[in-house]
Amino acid sequence: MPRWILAVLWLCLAQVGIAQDFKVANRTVQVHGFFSQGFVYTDRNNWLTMNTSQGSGAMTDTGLNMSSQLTDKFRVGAQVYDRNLGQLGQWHPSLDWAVADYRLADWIGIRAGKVKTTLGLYNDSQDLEFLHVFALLPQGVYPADLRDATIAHAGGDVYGSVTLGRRWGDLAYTAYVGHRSDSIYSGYPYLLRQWSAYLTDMGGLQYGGDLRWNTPLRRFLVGVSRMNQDISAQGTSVIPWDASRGLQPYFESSRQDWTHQFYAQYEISRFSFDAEYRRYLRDQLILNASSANITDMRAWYVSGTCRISKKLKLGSYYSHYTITDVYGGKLSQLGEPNLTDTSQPRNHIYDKVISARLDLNRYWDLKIEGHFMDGYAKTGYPAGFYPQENPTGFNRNTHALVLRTGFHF
Amino acid sequence: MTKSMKAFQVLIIAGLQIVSLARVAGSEVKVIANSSVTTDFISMAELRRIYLLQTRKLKDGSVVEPVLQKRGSLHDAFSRQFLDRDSEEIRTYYHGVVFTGKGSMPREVNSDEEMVSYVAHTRGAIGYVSGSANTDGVKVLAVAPESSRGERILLKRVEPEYPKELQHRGIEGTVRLSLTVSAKGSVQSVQVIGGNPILAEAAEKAVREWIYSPSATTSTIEVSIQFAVRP
Repeated sequence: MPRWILAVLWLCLAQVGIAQDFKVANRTVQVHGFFSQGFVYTDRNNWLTMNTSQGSGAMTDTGLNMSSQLTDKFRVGAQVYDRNLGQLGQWHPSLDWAVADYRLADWIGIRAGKVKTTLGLYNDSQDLEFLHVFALLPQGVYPADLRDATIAHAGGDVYGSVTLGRRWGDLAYTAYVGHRSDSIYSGYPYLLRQWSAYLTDMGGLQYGGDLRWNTPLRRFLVGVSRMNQDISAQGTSVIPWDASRGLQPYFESSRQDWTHQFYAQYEISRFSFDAEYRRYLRDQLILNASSANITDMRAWYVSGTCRISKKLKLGSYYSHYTITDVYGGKLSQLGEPNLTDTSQPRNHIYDKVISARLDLNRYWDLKIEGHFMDGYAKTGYPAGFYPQENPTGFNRNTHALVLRTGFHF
Repeated sequence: MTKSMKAFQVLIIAGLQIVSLARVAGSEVKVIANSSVTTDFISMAELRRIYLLQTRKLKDGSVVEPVLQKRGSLHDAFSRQFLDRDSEEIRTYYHGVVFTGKGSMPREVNSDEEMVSYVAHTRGAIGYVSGSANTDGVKVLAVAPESSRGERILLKRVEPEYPKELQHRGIEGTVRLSLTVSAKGSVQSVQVIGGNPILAEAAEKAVREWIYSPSATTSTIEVSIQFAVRP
């Protein structure tokens, strides 16, 4: 369906204040949805698989959910999500989450089904632009092109919160285990295509936990998350040292794959401040276990937002992302260079951002955002800048203008 | 005491009580609950946890369902006064929970009348209405403000009657009492620690009507009440 029709449809629904619930078997079913449309212009490198140097509006996403509280303790719900971000998503809808949630007590509950993964402050809400001041979250920690890698798992969570008393605040925890499943229209499979590797399946075990402390200092939160994964992928590929045989079966698998994240949030009056640090280490056997690729990503950001009025919010952040890429096995023997100098633009992206959000009404927001980026982080793992959209090479600096509007109800 | 002095004293006492109630419940907002909710008091922290969907149970074990009024000045006042956030932040918070599959939006109603009607007919429902709303059929909960040091807060204070004989003779004094306050907040017992016995009797009678903020346990609180003849 053309994007403009979708946009008009959603705008109409939002403006008439769509009925948000209905009854089935005497149970209330809530319905909520969102739609967002973005436009990105960059002065140099093309970004996020779009032809942004020409100006691109290939940045659309939408979701619709239904949920019902069946008893005091038991709730069910599901959300469908679809997006098109340049070459990613390509309008292939997915089940974003579908959960049965049984909360036995405040200190313990169980969610089962396809569950959004709790990782840091915003992993589970990274698609929901209307919740954030920024049009794009700090891409070092929440890369839009790699959402599939962390967004959800099919499995279960145990969660709860404990009040530690007036002097100690509250502690909330989540522990999870499940299976991650990546769309073949996500960033990593797309990046591999430059080497004539075509993945048909990617995913694997994902487990971890999150612990967050609402400190006794009013609205000051700190937390830590950890995620372990065992990921494999398969498809077909041209093997570099055997290119004459054309496409052959391809697979890769994890030797190590973990993420940890530390975060803090402080809200006071009309101001809000966030800081997060994420490290992601991935040691993958690639090219049918003939070679290894160790990728080490470290990213952090600090952000601040200010509510100027009920309708206008301003924000700014600095996002710092570095990556190293080391090869072993046959690729190394063939002379594939290791990329370990994070001062090089191909190993980092430093992004300074300013943003304004205007809430036109309670359903509709509009954002304008400027990005001032140093580096393009071109390695064997995606980081927003892809060779396919930049065939003539990369410039060191990129300035981006992002416009984004969203409706939700 | 002249009639005008007596009237003045009554006004002062009534004024103290009204200030106390206004401070507790807010000048614009009354927190109401279905009659199945056993408690008469709720702490600000407990109310916030309920409305932020962090708990569905009160300390006394009652299961509750928070209900919201749709946007407007009353909802703004409730959000600011009791939830420590503005109404837009609250809405964003709920959307964060709903769109990530981690909770459902509380029910929303359009008016005080609809709120009272829904709360009156829904077991465990808890909501809020404007100060002038008719609350027949529901109970109005006293909300205990938070104390940064964790002590119990006096929600209802009744001033003692100054015994006329002592007042005429100009006999003044301070009475010290030890109160045992129940978990719910009522004064269970009073022990006189010191002071004129006649003044102490008057003070004891008054403090038995005092009400404190609820707590997990019984507390012992020492109070001093001064009797002074006004010029």
